[in-house]
Amino acid sequence: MGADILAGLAMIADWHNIFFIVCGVSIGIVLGSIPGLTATMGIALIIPVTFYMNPVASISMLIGAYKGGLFGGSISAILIGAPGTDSASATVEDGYPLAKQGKAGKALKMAVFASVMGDLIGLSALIILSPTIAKIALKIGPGDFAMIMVFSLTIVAGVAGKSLTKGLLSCAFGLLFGSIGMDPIIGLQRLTFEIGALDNGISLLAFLIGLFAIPEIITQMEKKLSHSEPLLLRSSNPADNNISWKEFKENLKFIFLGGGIGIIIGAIPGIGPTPSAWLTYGQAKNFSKKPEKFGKGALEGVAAAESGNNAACGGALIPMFTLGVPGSSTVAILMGAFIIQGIFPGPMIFKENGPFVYATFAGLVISNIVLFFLALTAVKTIAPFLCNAPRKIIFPIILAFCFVGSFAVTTAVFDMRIMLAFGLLGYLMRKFDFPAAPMLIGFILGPIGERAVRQFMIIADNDITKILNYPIADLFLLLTIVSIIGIARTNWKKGRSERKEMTT
Amino acid sequence: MNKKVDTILGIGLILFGLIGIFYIVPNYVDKPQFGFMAELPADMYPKIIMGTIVILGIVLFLQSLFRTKTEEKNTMLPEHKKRALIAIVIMIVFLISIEIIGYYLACALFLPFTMFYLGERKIWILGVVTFTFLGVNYLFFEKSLNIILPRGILF
Repeated sequence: MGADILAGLAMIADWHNIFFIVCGVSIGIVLGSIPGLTATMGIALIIPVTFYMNPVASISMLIGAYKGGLFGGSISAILIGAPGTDSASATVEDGYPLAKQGKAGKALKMAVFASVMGDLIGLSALIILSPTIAKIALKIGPGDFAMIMVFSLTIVAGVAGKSLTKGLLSCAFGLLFGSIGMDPIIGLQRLTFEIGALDNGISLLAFLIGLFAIPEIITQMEKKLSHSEPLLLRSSNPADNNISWKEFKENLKFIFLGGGIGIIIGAIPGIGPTPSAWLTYGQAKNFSKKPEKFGKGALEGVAAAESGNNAACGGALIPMFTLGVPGSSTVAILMGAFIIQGIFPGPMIFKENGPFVYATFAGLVISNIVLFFLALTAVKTIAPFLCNAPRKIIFPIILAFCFVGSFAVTTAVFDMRIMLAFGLLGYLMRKFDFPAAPMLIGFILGPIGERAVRQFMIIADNDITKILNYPIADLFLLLTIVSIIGIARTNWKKGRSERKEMTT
Repeated sequence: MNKKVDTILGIGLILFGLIGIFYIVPNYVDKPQFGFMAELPADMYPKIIMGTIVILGIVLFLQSLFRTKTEEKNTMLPEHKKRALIAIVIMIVFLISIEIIGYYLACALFLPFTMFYLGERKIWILGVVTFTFLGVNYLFFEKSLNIILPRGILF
């Protein structure tokens, strides 16, 4: 093993490889920051270029693009309230309110630190705990999976806003929209209304861009714009655009929380970084001393969301390396790139291609360091440029990008219509105080959860009580009950104090 | 939020859920042509969601009835409503024009018009921004990513 590690380090220590990592991270950040273009798309686009490279350089560049793409999504999430990638959707919740308070620099820098640290935690787990975590992940059956999804739905309470009822309604509609398309078990068409373009369901990116970006643009266009009003006002106070050591220390626990959740969620195949970000966000709110600040510009919210999605990136690589099972769609493409290079991920990879595996691990660490410096540079250059851009010019451009971004994923004009429809729905929801985030959570978790529940019901002969035979499911059932009791208690207390205030 | 609006929304959601359970789901979810999966029908999940919407609609309706008037506030000014409506119309017209005359031509009309509407009066800025945006789109999407942007039904 020691010889393999040394051979691996020798393989990566070539300036060509470092150059390709820098290129990959840069491309990832640019693509990730454009709403509609994802890390998955970035990797898919780079793969043809990597055919002609040696395996280490090729995988280094792809991994760089993956990491860059994950971070890039948070730039637009914070600056324009439209997540560049779905994994950055939880970052919007507090990142954008912070930017509107003139603290875009602070939010972006926290996103950089949390992303890099979350990623490092995920990578440490990948390198040290790979075999153990893979064994646990392998034991997670549909029953456990179903309970994890049910538990994840309790996040809705954390992002429900003023009214829990409206938050739950928004989530129910998200579940409904997520059920459109092919039934996940027997492949029958559901609620497609005989529209062929809906056979595969609603495009996540069109849904996401519509729900988050369009309502914000309409809301901004409602106001009469002054002659050269900038997109975002930047605070002249340097403290508002930097992270102090005290703030960093205060947020460290949320970064580690995201790291822990990200590793576990990422290691379970089929979930991916987006639910991980939301789950961390919800839990961070529960643990925070100031939960009322969440959704209004809490730095903890940005730290938790970014750490949660980036740690899941390392976590998702664990089942790929150890079992040959990709943890997310992006990792599936990455796995394809390994196979193209003649390397087959799975239990034998450490034995057959030991030096290559350790070179890849070293590449992951180097790409993380590169990401840190490139992301900080991007924050210093792109952020002031975007913040100072006049609204009357930037809004039409963002709007055109929303249309082209929702088209680019599937190259279907229908997705532009979907994007606009959800944009208008999102605007009406905003006006009637229905939060958008629970709808997105329902939309993402619904199909995964339904598949798991129905698979479990087949295995259990439709006897739901058999869920008690699964220890991991029992643990999450207990956590769900505790979480629901906590939510009920908080709401009861909130209602009581509101009534008291009204009577006095 | 306005008490009356929440009451109407509650009733609307109850009706939507009931229509969903008794009309939309039975008519727009395929039935299996074979029997062995009958215990796990594809319509089970949407029906559960519709049922949840009905229950939550009832809760919203009841909450609005028991709410005091002091919580009410008027959120939107008439001029804001007018400008929001114009923004929505601009977006819908932009989408329709993309489908008819294609993305590039639609953008060439939409960008200067919207910038002008939002207050930009310098013609050269309208021209430079539109031309640069279209150029970047063409080079980035069509030349680098090989994504052919919509050409429209006329071209």
